[in-house]
Amino acid sequence: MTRLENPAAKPGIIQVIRVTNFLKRKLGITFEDAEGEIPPDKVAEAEKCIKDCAGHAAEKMGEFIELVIQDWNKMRDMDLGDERTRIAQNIYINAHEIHDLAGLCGHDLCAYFGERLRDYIGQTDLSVNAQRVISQALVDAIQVVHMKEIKEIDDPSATELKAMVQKAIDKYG
Amino acid sequence: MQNLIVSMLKAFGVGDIMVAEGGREAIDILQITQARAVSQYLTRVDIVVTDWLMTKGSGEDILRWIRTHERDEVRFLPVIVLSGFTTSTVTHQARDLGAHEILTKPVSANGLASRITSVINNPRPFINVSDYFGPDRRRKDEVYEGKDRRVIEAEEITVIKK
Repeated sequence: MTRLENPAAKPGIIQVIRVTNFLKRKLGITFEDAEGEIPPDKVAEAEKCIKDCAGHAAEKMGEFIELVIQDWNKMRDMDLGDERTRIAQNIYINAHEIHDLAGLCGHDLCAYFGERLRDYIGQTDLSVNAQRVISQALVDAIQVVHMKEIKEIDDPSATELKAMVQKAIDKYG
Repeated sequence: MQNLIVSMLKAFGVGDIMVAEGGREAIDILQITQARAVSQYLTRVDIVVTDWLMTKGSGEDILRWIRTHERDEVRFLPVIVLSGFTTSTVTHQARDLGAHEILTKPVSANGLASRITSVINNPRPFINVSDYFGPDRRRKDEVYEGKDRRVIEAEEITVIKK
């Protein structure tokens, strides 16, 4: 459920609450119409943090890929149960991390497959054998992308891998 | 990712940054800084920046806790959500739970800076209705040409200044 149940509201009443802007005051901006800004050199400094982080991100991404492979190998033949659910949750989170880190360090193809795996694991309990085939295809694709260091989403090998996964989805999905 | 956000905030010049390992710890921190009796020795949190998907309590948990809290120091807190989901579902969920700003990953310095300055420069009024508490979700102040289906009687609106 995404809606908020708001016990503080009175039924049938819409309250519009205008809050004093403490943040502006804290920053020393005394005129209501004056605008604060983050200086461009500070923004450039933060952008450099992203670039610096990108190098480590690739390494960290590799660790998450390893975790996904290990968990998938443990989980794929397991019967439904709490342990399986727990491992599926781990794969879901780690696939999400792969997507985030890969996006950060410019590994767009890995980000793409990380997202596909995360969303697929999130949508199914993998109780049907066909679903396992699709997950396996996605895990394999991530592994290949990482090993061969294919970054670009429009690389010829990327097209081939995406076609392989699509074939699994078309056949078993 | 968390370390990166901290580095970026430091680069922006943010002085005091509190880091939590997931939603549950963030709630613990906010309970101490905002919810308890005000103390001159405690630093209050000004803006919450949270990931949406985390292992120990999600961004959704934090938002629900903040927006349904009884104390004004908590429920009016500005919240910026970082999301690794590219579909609009999470964006809509976060918005409907009262997030001020949503930033889709991969993050950029400009993106984060613009969300923070938006929270500071353009604070939207809060709306308190039965299924929503949070900043006004309508950002544009435009004249709408069509039939206004949201027309309600004037006495049903109360404007409060905090």
